[in-house]
Amino acid sequence: MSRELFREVSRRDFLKICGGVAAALGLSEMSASEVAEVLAASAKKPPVVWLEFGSCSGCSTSFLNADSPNAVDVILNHLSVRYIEVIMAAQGAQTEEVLHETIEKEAGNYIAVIEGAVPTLDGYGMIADRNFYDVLKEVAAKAKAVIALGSCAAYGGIPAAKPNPGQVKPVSEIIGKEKVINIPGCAANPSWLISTVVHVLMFGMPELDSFGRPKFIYGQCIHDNCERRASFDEGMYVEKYGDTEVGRDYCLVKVGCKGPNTHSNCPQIRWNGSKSWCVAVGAGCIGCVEPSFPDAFMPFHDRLPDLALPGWAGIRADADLIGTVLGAATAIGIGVHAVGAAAKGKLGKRAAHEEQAKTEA
Amino acid sequence: MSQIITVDPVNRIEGHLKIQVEVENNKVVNAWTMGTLYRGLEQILRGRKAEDAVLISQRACGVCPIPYATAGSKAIEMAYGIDIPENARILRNIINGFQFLGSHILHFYHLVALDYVDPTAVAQYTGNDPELLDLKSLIQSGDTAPFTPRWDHDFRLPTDINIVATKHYIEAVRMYQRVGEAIALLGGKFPHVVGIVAGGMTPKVTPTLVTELIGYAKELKDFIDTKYVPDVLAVAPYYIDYGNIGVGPGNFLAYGAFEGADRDPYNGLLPRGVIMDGDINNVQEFDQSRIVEHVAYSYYQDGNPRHPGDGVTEPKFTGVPSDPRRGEKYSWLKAPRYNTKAMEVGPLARMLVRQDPNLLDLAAKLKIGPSVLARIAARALEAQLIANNILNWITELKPDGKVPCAQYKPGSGRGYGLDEAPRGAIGHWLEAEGGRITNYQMIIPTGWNASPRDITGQPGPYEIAMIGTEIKDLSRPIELTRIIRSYDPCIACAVHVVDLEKERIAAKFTIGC
Repeated sequence: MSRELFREVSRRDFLKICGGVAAALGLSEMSASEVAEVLAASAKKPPVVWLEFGSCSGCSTSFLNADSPNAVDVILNHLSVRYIEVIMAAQGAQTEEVLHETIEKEAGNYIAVIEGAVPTLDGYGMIADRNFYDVLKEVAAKAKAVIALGSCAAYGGIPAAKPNPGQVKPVSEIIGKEKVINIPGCAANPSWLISTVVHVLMFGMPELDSFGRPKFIYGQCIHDNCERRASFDEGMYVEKYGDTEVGRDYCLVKVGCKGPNTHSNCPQIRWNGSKSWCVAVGAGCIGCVEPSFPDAFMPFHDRLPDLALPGWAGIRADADLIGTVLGAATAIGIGVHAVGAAAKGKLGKRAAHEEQAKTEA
Repeated sequence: MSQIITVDPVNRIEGHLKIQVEVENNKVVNAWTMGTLYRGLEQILRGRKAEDAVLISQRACGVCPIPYATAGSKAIEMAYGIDIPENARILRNIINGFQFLGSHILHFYHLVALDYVDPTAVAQYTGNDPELLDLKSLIQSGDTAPFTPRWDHDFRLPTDINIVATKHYIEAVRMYQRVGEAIALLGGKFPHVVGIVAGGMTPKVTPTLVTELIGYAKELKDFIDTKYVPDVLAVAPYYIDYGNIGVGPGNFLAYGAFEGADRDPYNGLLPRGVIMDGDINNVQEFDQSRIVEHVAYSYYQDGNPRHPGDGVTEPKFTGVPSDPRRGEKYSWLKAPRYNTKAMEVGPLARMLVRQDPNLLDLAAKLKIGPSVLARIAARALEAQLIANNILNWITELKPDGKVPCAQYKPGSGRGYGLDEAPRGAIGHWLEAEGGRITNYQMIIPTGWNASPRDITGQPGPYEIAMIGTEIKDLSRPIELTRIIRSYDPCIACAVHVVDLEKERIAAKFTIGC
């Protein structure tokens, strides 16, 4: 999708957005005059339509947990959220009128946020006696962009897990990929949604990876930025929940952490006011942002089958040997964490992914 | 002559719900509640490792995932004979306690308040509060989505109460964020947590954690004491007729929550029990073998009413009835009944089973029945009760720096976990062989409250509560949506299918839990 598509939308209001989101996008690099211009502009707030399909409402809940800016600030000052079932005041047929009025009057102008997967069987998900997939097609046709929010909308997620009882599909399989930005996560971090909307309005379409996700959010492997990475490298693992003693936080891969196969900025931006994230509470990542979630990540508490651990008894015990292998590994462009895998003659998915990324680049 | 009135969607709830009523002379003579989404989580769990149920089942509900995780964990712990450490019991009380506070605050301010409070009164605001001034300029600019359009024919509050309540609506979002932060400290993030596992909890209990939790608990207690409860009491007198509108079946069910060190569900902060036929001072013991589920009016293959564990559930969508009076199937929800009766679950049920003196006193003072207002008041008073107790629970923690999780070996067995979600009783039933799930069943709160008719034609609680209601303006039946929202519906949770195979599960649980 072209960047021009978004130019008409008011993108100025968003500069008022403060804190972490602005910093994450590197807005501080804008010139003073640009900032002043943006702040002075008082364009109309961009219209948004938020539809909930086969979901648990968790991505709506997550949005209400937004921190910087918070949900009320977004709604009062930055976006004109016309249709959002979980908080809108309108009732019954009135809500349908709002939806259709927005689609007609703001055609080509509004952003559609879709939460939840889309059942493809007749009657398995309806609003006002219409199947979700028909509602989606109508809303998407005239939207400027469609954000598939959360893993269910992006990839099918939980309801699509085997045996996919409702025969659900992700948004992009119903309406095509060209307008869709996937923001997976179970739930999606509110910062991902807001920073993506900011990107769309201010800079146009973000660069997406092969799974339709913005690279600025999903471009890095969790394992590479993990606060427990040092423990992984040194071979210090939690073997079972509850076995660790006071003090250092050990690596969680042996109790099933999927960080080595998962890509997001969770370790950097964390969750809920940056207070915590899954690894911080000692339970590990479950891979909830990946297209193959949840099937490929269950059993959640089992170690990734193809993840080799560094060394045999840890780097410290075999420092010389590892050092030797490290040199060779670096030479062929594989990260330190793949050393063990390289030494054992097999590359994990994680390393394979990096290789693929290099090829794509 | 009678006519059919439809509200679809019923929004400001979780999930997808449609209601229809038959009206004669502006009075509801018949009512139908229709769950309009099917997902099917239990089918997904079959064959998985039991522990995966803790993470998958909470994804039935993004609003109250915590009690799903605790009920799922309890089921596994019973099946495998695991005794969780005291710190884990306490942390679970704390994390679910915060879940209740967040959910109740969200319900009152963000789901329900817009039916009673007029935020456009802020146009007359003359003070300096920056957020109210933001809202004022929004109103003046004419772009008031999503607070308009609305049904605005029955706002009764004076301007000052409207403005104060609107200010608290905005503050309540921040309180909801605080709840998310507190839960994230114990669960990793919110919604959907990883910190609750079979055997206990995963965060280390450190003095830092204890200190942070105290901070959150105090901040929330302060908001509830000085804003939430006073706001409910300030609004109630203007809508006092709702003290007798929306009266349900008069049968109440609570599984109980927040067990103490004795781990007796009849002795926790919110005890287990049953009230039948409106005899609200007569609390009886609960016997799970008296639960059956009906599918006569649900989109499933017909079969006899069964104990939920029977698991004969074959989806069969037969179309949206052109007229609900025809007696066709009309909902994705099944119809659970206890002792053949439709049961109300939720804060009002729990506070009545508790015989909570504050609620009983307030109801007597306001002369209100088990109604819309009683549900809203019970929820606020329950939030206050829990907020007070979270501080006590935190001080019970032993900050030894260890992960409070018992070691165990997965195996085979059957177990159930009964707990309370903010919107009512939640039960999980599990059967596992060799560590893998052979059957999993959930009965969740809105499954009780929003149930359709059963095979005898007995309507569900929402339906009973709507019948008899006078509607002032048939084009804007706000009386009905006020009734429905007072229950805090979560249709997202309610619509899941149980197992396709004809296995009996809960019927094997002979223990009178």
